[in-house]
Amino acid sequence: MADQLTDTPAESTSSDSEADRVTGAAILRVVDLEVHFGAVRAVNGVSFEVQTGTAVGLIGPNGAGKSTALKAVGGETRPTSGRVIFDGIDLAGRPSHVAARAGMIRTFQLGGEFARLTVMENLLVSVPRQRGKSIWGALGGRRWWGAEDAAEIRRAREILSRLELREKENDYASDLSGGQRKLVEIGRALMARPKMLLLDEPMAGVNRSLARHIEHALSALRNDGLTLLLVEHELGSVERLCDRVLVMAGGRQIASGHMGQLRSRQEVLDAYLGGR
Amino acid sequence: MAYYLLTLAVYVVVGVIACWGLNLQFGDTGVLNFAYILFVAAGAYTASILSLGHPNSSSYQHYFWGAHMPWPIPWLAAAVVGGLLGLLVGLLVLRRLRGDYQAMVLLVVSIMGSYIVSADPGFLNGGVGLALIPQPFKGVLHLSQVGYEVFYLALALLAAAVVFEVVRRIHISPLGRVLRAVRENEAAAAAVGHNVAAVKLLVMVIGGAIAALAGAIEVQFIAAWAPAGWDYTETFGLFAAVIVGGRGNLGGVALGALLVQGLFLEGTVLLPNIGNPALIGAIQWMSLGALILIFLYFRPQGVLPERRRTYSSDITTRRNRMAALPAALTRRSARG
Repeated sequence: MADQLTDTPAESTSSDSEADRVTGAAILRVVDLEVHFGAVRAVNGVSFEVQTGTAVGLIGPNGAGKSTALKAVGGETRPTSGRVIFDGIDLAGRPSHVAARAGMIRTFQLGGEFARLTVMENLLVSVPRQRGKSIWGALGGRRWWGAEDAAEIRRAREILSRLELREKENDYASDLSGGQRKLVEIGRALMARPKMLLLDEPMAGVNRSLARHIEHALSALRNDGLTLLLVEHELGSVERLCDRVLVMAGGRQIASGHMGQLRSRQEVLDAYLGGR
Repeated sequence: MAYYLLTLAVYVVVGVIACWGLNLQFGDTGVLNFAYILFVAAGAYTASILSLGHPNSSSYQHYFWGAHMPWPIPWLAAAVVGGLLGLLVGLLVLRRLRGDYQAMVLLVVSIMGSYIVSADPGFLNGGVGLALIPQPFKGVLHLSQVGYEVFYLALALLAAAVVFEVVRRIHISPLGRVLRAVRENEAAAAAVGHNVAAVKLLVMVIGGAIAALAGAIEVQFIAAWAPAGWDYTETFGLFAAVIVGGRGNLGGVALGALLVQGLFLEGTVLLPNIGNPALIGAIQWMSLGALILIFLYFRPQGVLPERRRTYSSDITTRRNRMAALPAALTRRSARG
């Protein structure tokens, strides 16, 4: 599953071991991020780093500001202040297509698929810098873009095979189950040749079997060297997947570390784990 | 009868061209351009003033500028003006507003455009409109009326063929996939790197150019153009054709234009006069509204729905498909 699942850039695939992952250079630096909605401070001065090739989890109780922080990092929500430095570029306040073109692709908690496009088309949409995607390229006809498109179709089939969705390639995304749609989104993100994935609750609302399948897929990506930042409520999955976990509550970052260490921290127990 | 059928045929071809442009915006990309008729009108006025010649102060009709241009310059210029208008309107409307607000503002823009032209008689002859617009090659060919209509139908079909090839190439290309992705989910399209506002702006420009070309073809056929002919309600006649035929399906959209523009709207004109003369027009629009509602309720995908795009597992290019054709035919004949 792990090998060749993603066509990530060379600098992101060089390290395999967990030690290397944790000590790699920071690909993402978030500095004093604030998102205000009127008087509500949904994200209040959050700062963290994500090292290249690592998986970082963002956890916390409902209303902690995790998804808002993720949206602000990915460009969907404009931050009130703060910096989002990705791969050397400050993306704070830039729209999400700019973040995506820089190599940071996000998936959605709900309804992120292109419902009336087939699974194959869902994947092909995110291929970057394709010949037939400009107006002149499109008018050039199939002879101009056909061979390149055929190569991308083969790459999409490889990704679908590894996500066990190959037989669904001609189904509309709207005809898939919730878990399969999440896998399509992951496949679509991989087609964009990302340097980093932002995943908003990839296992939410998915049956246990498919959730495990998604977890294995993400684990394989992490082992391939792809950087992950995920918001997730399923703490078992977070512990297995993530090298480091940030805990948020009331818009603030209250702790960070490995999941095993965080379980014993009183402020985390108070805010989120409820004494478990 | 031949004259009537030829006139109807030209109207249908103009309607098909206009609907293909609207389909690019609404059917493929999900842009609710309720100002679409404004672009048709812009093309019609452009072709008119580029055919009428310089305005004469002693003439009964006044317009701000004019020239005598040979065909096809008035049509090409109309397309350019339609594209530029699409760029201008798109920049004003698409960048900051959400889809439903975009639709409302576009409707207002259409109404404003009609009032502006009507209010100033010196701009484009006000509410009276322009008349006696020269027809291409009319004075050179010396054809009978029916003969000229056949010739004009051929010109219109030539333009339709060019427009079809343009929209078909966009439709089947990776750009076409991006348009449909924007239609389905703007946030997700942006999240994989597509500038949604730029994509919508592109279809406003191309769709605007196609609409304007349709207007140019129509105005040089009927030789007159006035604000009453491009009321904002006309946009909904074109929307009806796209919805009935099948948004996202080029053949379906052409069928919708034939059914709605050629048969449905023309059919109500043939109704006998009963009561108030304005009643026929009212019945026409009421029945058009009912037709849209019926399709949106019972068959929203239209008569010919958008095709599901599948990719064969080993051959993807047309050249390869053609190369594989003899073998496929041999297999079929062996089975048969």
